[in-house]
Amino acid sequence: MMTGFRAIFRTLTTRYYRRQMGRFWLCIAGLSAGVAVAGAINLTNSRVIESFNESVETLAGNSNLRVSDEQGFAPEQLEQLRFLWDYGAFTPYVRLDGALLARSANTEADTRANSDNQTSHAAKTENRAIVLFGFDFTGASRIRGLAIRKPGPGPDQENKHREQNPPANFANGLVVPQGSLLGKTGDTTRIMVGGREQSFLIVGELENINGRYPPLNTAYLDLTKALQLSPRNRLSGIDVHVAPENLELVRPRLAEIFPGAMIQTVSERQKITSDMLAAFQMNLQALGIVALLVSAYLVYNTINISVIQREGLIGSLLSLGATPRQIFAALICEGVWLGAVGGVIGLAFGYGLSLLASREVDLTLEAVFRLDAVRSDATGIFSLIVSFGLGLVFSALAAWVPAYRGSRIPVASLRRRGRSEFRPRVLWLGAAGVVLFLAIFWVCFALAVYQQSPAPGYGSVAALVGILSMLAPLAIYLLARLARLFRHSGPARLAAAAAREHLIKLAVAVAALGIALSMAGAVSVMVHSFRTTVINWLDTTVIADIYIRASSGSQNLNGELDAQLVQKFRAHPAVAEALTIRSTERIFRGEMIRLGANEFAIAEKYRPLSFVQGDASALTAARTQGGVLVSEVFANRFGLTRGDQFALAPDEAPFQIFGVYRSYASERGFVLMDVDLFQKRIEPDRAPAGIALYLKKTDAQNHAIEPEAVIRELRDQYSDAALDMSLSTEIRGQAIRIFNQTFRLTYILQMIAGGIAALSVITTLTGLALERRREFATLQALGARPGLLDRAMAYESQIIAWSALLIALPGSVLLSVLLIHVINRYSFGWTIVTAIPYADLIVAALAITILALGAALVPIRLIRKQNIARILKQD
Amino acid sequence: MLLNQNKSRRPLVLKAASTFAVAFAFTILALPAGGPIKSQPANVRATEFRLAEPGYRFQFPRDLRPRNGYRTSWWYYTGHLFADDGGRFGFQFTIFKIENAPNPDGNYLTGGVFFMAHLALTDEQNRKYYFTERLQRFFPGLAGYDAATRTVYVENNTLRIDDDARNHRIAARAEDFQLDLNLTSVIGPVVHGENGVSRKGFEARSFSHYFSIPDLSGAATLKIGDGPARTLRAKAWMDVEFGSNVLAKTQTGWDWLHVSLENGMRYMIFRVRDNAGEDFYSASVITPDGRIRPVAAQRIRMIPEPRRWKSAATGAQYPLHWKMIVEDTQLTVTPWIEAQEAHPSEPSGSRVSYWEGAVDVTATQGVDVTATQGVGYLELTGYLRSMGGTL
Repeated sequence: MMTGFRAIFRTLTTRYYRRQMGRFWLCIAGLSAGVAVAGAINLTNSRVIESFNESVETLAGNSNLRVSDEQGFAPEQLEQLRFLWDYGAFTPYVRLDGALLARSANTEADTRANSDNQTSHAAKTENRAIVLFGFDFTGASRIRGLAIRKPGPGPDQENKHREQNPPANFANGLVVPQGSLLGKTGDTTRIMVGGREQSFLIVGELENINGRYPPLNTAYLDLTKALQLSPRNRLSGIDVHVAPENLELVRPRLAEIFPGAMIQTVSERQKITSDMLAAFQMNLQALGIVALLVSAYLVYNTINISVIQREGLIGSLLSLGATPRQIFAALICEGVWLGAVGGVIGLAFGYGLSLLASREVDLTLEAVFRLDAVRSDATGIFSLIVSFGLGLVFSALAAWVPAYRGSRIPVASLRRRGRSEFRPRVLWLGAAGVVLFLAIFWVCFALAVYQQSPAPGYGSVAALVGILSMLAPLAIYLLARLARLFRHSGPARLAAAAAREHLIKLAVAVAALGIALSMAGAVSVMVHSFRTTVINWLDTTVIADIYIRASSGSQNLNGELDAQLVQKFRAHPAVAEALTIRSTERIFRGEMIRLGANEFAIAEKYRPLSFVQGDASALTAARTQGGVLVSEVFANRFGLTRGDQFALAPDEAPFQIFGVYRSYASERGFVLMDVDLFQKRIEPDRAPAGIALYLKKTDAQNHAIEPEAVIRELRDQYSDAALDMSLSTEIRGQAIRIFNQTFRLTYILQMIAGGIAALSVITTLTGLALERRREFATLQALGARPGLLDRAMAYESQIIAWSALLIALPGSVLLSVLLIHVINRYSFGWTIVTAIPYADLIVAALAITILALGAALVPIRLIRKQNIARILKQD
Repeated sequence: MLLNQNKSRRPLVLKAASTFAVAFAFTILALPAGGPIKSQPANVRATEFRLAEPGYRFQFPRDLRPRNGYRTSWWYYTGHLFADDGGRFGFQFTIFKIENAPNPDGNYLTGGVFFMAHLALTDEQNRKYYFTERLQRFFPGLAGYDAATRTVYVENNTLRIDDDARNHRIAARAEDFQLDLNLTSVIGPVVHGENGVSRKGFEARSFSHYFSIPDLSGAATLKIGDGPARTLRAKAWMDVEFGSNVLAKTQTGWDWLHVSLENGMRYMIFRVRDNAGEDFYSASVITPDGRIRPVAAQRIRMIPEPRRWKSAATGAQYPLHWKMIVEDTQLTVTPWIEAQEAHPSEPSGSRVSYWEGAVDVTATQGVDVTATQGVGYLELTGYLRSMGGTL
């Protein structure tokens, strides 16, 4: 049995592809491209996740509970945590934001062995943000196992040894991750931290924390040293490890001890990570879906074409005793075989592609999330292998339909050639499918809206893909009817007839192309809408001339501006008004929110808010009636609207909401109130974190005041004050730069869509040309001019392209609606004003049309080269 | 105590630094920031820390509490637990305080101060030995002294001594056992050495302040693993010692023993071994009514039997069987079980191994053939690697 099957496979597949090497490699190239793209996306995704995990989880060690508070904790509060030792262990930490100023690297390897001053130092000036952690190197090993490399004893300084949690030798120095930009052991580094410049000797290199890489933009120093550097000597948080069964026992006690603190379990921390990644990964996953569609479609089309070409052979095999099941199995194996060969090559390409993409990803991570470059590891390779496996499964599935058709070829190939695939039934089935998927679409949509959750929204996306697939035959049929209107054009009528005749085959190609275009279009609409909304929002809200805040080096636990400085800024002759910004964090209904305040009386004049509910008069109403304004994220997240009241804690008086405003600055909810109310109800002593300066138009001499000149003067005057000063134009520019960086990957999506368009048209038309070679030969023998068939092919390419565009038009709109109003909204709580990038879409449609025309050249060349006499003789 | 400062013997009288006892534990912890201490005379280090000086006057409860500015100090409890069914257990509960840099104010923000607990249990019947080390920095909630409750703690290992030094409450929370002790003393603290200091070597300023409470007794609750909690009778010996001197390079370790005999006599005996010169001997005799007298070095002999027990874990070879002579009393020392080696293997810990275990002691006096039985605790250090120059 197996021998028979092997013979069938050899005859049907191996020998065939040996003769058709060009086709084989075309398919393999397409397949490997698909697997490569999918693999690269998976790899990139895993790298991104790894990067977040490095930053979020690695430093937490194996703790399963973290207590943190932006205000920090007095170390004495830890006395109350002694009960925790009965359940597990805990360790405090300090986190400090810093900036690397310069490093001075030892250039001789054995500097540490020699103290004869013969070493030369190369000072390197930097300006990179880093995060300093104050860890307990001694007693935290049950939570954080720090594997630190330091110079070993003995004459050979290259002989390193590892030591975990060295208790004393690191007390006064800095430990950096291996490969850190701060330098290596023995180097001296200058860091701006806590508003002061500090010089550190690097005394060790951290290989891993509990076996995992630490983020590269971090550095570690002794807990007490970090406490001395932190404002008010406060701890940033406490990592706790207790047996899982004790988690719920311990948590309420911690909440009692630290009433304002955030107490998170590992899963809660991971949720925050996944929330942060959602937008980024959504883009990547869209790319992945498209890539897999390409792969599947290519396998489908290749086997489809090969089945058409081997009809005679298959018929012969059937007449010689091969069963339809054997033929079916052989063709499925062919698909898997193609998938395997293409997949292996795709793996290599995918890895290369991911390396190319890594720079983009790293830039995005750094710009958007302030994370450092990621380092690939075994999990990344595993994700490539997963893509390979998926490629195989998709290949087998894609081979299913052509394999089934191949196994149903009548004996001796009695199938009537030229038999039309068009049946009214096909259109009705398509319509029924549309209705079915539409119902699913609406159910999921309603569920998403009802539950205010993005998850059912993905169901709607899937249903929409189904609808678009079902619409493909209808679209082709309509365009074929339209082509028939060109009564006097032979090629048009020929193309229309062919489209009708090969409706099913074309429908598959058109569906794949239409879905790819829809996705690309939808993401374009979403990105354009988001960008337009953000620009409008920035233009509405970032309207002061100069913004000043405590610099990143000093803004750690509570970056606050000195009160005297604030007074000086207000008193500056060029300043018309100054709006201070105070903020703090609180837990509200189990989630961290931000409470902020500024002088509403001043804000009323400048109206630096864009309202979703209410208008600028809400500022006056809130100020005079002791109410608040809330961000849209806050309102959506907690189901509150204008007029509602909420209390921050059960025993506190409620606040009334007078307006809901847009804010894209944070995914956390924000409650904004007048400074008087803030000082009365929230924190009386909180100093401003920043100040916005509104400049006068002219000075006393009636000369125009230039913000650039004022900021230059302020920067010179307060150069020692550790302040970040920015013009509003700089802030807006920076925000847009970050935004663009976030969505740069979407351009790859558009390129992939273009590639698919070309591939779809080429393979579909080539397949059709091959299938219809007898028909073309007959027409040529009857005197049809070569140009007639060329133009017919060109028309057909346009029928495919425009059918796909016909699907993509509603597809893009509906998908963008889902992305903007369901998935984005319920993921982040932001509403985005839909803005269609008409020009971009028209250009894209034209590009697809031209690409399709270009793609028609391949089958045209094939038809021109075919030997008419031989084909007719064979027939 | 007779001190030999004869110039003619100078080659033998090495310039040893000599904080006695648990120097082993501080091999790493006692290092100053930046690297190991070079072997240097005690008087060099003396400029940085408070020194144990002759003329010191002990005050209680002050000296029961953590003493700041000293390089090392500890509360060292060793003893024996007795079950009604005849079963016996030995235990060690020690809290060390180590200052890597002088911290005379006792400020945790200064850093460089550590507390370490060593918890050990010997189950004679089942011939098992358990040991746990807990090392934490001096920091609220991690380790330190809670003045409100008069409790010294390292994580959840706690020691509370009442101001009159009579009542001691201990909670030991080891990996494999939990031990709660409620102990009482009748005779109270007795001070070793002379003029407020206990000499540890031949170096002129080689001292520590050292007192013991040798007659602690009371009740113990012991729980091993998931087994039931058992109530036992407890007898214990407590040492408190603090000082700032260091061992000389040639002082490789020490052998130390305390003995409580059935007739009420108690002995503390030690020698500091020196691989380049004369070993240093010291002992105290405590009578049943609580009077203490130092013993002249010439009247102390500690003679190990040639056979040694080799640790499977570390490979160190320890002399566990001894004959000791203090004045006219001969003590024959036999370990309950051989495997009582403390081996802190945690990479983040002290990583210094030593043998410390419960022993039976038979005492005979002069030509008297009537033997008196007793129990004791023997400590042997520096057998895996030399402790010289580490303190």
